[in-house]
Amino acid sequence: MTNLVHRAILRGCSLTIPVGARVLLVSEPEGAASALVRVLAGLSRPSAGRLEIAGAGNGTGRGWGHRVAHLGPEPGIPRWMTPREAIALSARLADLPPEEARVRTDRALAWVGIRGDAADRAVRHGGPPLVQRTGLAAALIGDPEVLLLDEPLRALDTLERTRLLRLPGPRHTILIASRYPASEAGLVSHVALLQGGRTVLLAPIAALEEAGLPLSMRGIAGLAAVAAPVPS
Amino acid sequence: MTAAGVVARVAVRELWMTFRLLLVLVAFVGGSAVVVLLPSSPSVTLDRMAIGLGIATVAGAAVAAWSIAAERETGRAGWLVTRSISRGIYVIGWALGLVAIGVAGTVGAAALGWLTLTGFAVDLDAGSYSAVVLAVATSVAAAMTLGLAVGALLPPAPAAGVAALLCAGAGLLVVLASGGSSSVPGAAYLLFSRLVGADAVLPDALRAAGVGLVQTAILLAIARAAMERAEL
Repeated sequence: MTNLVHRAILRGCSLTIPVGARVLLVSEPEGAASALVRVLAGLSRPSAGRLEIAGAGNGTGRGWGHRVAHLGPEPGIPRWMTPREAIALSARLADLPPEEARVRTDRALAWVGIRGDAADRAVRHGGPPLVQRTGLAAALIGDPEVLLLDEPLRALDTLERTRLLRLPGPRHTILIASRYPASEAGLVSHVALLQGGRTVLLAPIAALEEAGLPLSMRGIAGLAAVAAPVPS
Repeated sequence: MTAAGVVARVAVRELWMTFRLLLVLVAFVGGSAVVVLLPSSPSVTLDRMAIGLGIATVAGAAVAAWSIAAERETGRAGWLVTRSISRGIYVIGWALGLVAIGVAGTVGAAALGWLTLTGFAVDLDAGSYSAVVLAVATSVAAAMTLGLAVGALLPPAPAAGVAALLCAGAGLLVVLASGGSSSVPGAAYLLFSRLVGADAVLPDALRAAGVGLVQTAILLAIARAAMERAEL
């Protein structure tokens, strides 16, 4: 894909993620990881290439919410919308029956910690933490198979962020683009590194420990230097 | 409710909460109010009405362009698109919302104009007047979709400026070079001045309405194509 000045951000990037894997995606330069997540989420269009998520090609039309969810650093929820409205809208667009949508909305609100009147007040009153909690609940309401997270929930404190991102259930495949690898400790099973727009590393997180390297940009780059190259 | 209907509802509410809906309505109805407040001969009143509606149309196109560009830049478009809504449906939903507001403004302005003119005891043919208003409404719809197309390509302020310039330029071209032909896009406004004469306006008004609808359809297709490639 290219940015507005037509400088290639991703070039020859190839990445295959196994079902159920929870992958931390980091990059040099930093923006490439977010760019890849945006391409996968259908928010940016690549100039060439092929992608397949949860058994289907890229396309954010009907049924997308059952397969894939995206949560960016600043979820674009209209500021006048209440958390309940935003989540209920997501449920409706995910084709959930009204009764199930209501039950799931209540459950999602409780799980992300939006309680009492906060659920029925416009999200602008709660600031970025409320917007991000609402965004996560809205993203998960359709029980998607794949979660694309781009610097998620940065407005929350570390403990709460970790609690919310430690999603229950084995079937979620998760890709987290992050500039702060250490903050994703305990959340991911694999790590991938993009350098110059290409994938140079996809390895289990345990490989870092085996190599005596920390979960940091330097550690991941060090692992990439000694690991077998990723086939393109 | 269909996905396009959901988007249209969100669009109208977004415009309402940000006072842009009010701006468009005031542009249309306020223009007519000026006609009412400045009494003059029926032909001058009709000319003024045409000019007022033309200016309101330019304002409507600018608001449409600004709105869709702002939706892209703030991530609100992206948030909806990752909720199982295709980009094409998103554009159609916004077009529905904007056109509904533009048409409501046109009808309000036309009603005020009608009350003023019939107050002069002018013998106006209701059928011809309605047909001219219908033709103008289709031109308003075309201007709104033009705004959508421009807003899918440019940032908010430039998009509003370019959409306004394109609409004003087209209007000027029609006034200077249409030669009274109703088949020229945007010529519907000129038919107002013929309502008090002996000419049969109805066939020309219906032709102009048809031209406006075709124009709207073409511009909607262009807006959709532009949005397909846009960064959300």
